[in-house]
Amino acid sequence: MGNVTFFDGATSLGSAPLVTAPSGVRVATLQKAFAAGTHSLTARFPGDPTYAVSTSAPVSKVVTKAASKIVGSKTLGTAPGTYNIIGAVKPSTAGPLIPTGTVTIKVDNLNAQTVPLNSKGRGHITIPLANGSHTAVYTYPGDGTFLNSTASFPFTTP
Amino acid sequence: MRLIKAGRRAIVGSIVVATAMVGVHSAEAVGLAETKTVLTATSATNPPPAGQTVYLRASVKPVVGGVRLPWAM
Repeated sequence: MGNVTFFDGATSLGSAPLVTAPSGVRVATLQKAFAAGTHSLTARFPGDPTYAVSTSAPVSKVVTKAASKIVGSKTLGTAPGTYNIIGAVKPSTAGPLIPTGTVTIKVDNLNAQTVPLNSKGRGHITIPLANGSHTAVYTYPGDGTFLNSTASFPFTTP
Repeated sequence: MRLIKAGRRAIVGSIVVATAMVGVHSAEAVGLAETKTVLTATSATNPPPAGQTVYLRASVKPVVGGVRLPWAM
């Protein structure tokens, strides 16, 4: 029966086989997650020896930025008395996309530092801390896909 | 006499060309059926946030003059 190829603008999203639905119509389906923005989607049947090629009318799909959240944590630093204060920026609802950009971390209202997020959406600072109660405050400014978010992470040392 | 022969040749030639043209058109009509592809894109929320799954569904139908036909076996 052949395949149908789906496009976002001129970019191929992939192909899916045509199968016969109970109604007798032949359909192909594809699941895809998109980045924020407006997407012009089309489907193209390439034709076969019996049936001619045809391309669908474009379907415009608006995708908004997703909410993000920050999960704070700490680990011991390599130098005595130091700690790695970590901020993991994640989608609020599970999905395949990972926030990018930077996160600003401020501990006990002192020395805010902005650090890049790695490929897993994590950023960290390493600072010396006295024993006791502390609070890390995180600020994520957002990126092209995710909205900004803030979080607070109270913790004690050691 | 020459004029009559030339006229006959012209008539025969026209018939041959016309026959060939009919043949070509017939082959095209029989060879490929037109199709219409319709795309729908749905998601759990509209508009979907980035990262949410969008379900793309393309239906393909043979059509002639806007009338849907059954698929050939």
